[in-house]
Amino acid sequence: MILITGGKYQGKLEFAKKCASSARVRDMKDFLEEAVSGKVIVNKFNDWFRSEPETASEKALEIFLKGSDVILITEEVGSGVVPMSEDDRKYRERLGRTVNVLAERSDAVYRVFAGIPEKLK
Amino acid sequence: MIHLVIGGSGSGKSAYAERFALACRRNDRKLFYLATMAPIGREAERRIERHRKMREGLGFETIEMQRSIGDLADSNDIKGSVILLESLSDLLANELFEPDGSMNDTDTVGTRIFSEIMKLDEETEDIIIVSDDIFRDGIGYTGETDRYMEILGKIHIWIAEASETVTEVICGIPRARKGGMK
Repeated sequence: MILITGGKYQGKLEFAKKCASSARVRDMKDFLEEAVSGKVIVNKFNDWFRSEPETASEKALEIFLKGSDVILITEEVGSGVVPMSEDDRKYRERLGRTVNVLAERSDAVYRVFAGIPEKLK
Repeated sequence: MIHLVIGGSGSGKSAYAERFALACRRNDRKLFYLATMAPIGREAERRIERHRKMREGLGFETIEMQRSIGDLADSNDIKGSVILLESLSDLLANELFEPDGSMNDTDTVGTRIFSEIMKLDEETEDIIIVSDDIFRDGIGYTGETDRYMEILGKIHIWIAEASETVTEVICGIPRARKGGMK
């Protein structure tokens, strides 16, 4: 698995397509609902995560830790003022911790900044 | 040559960009500080005053422009000069939002600002562009704020591609994302 992170609007998907030009692109939510063969770029992991705050972490770890061959794209979301709402705080924290585990088990981790990829691992 | 400097609020990006601009200046090249922040309200005035004090005695000539910075390309003064543009994120806000809060020509404003910067790049020796990292707080913005972020993100990517150097400043510490550092 390759993990790509970075802020909003930094060119994460464009970089993923450069890594695997023939890969199909699916939003995480659609990826879960249909069987896709071949290399897949799984986009908007964090949006799906926010929509299922209670179960997302467990589900994600189950899917991706059994040796998955996807390029997973997720946004950096932790660098702001602590949100007022408890749901937002949980989302930030749980997504962060889940992504840390996924990053640990990924073959490569990139962060994209102003369109420029940096290999973190 | 274009040099892009990006950092969060209070990251020290302005101080770094000033040092960078001074290091670019040789052979009596003129040094301009292109200030784009609209001096509206006390907080803005204080920030402007703080930046003015920081620059004092460094030899910058200040130009204040809130929009259409491409017009500067026609001025003979800036030929072969070093320009520090502070900041791209303020400039985009000025171009995008009217004083009453309404938004205009969102489809073209990004490409227009980018081409104006390319025009200035042709006339000057170096242009150092300071901009804000506003993309990593995870808040699901909608409407106009999200549109502003999307356009700023695009301009960052375009300018980064055209830049000689791209630097991210964190806690006052510069990290080269492209090219070297001064």
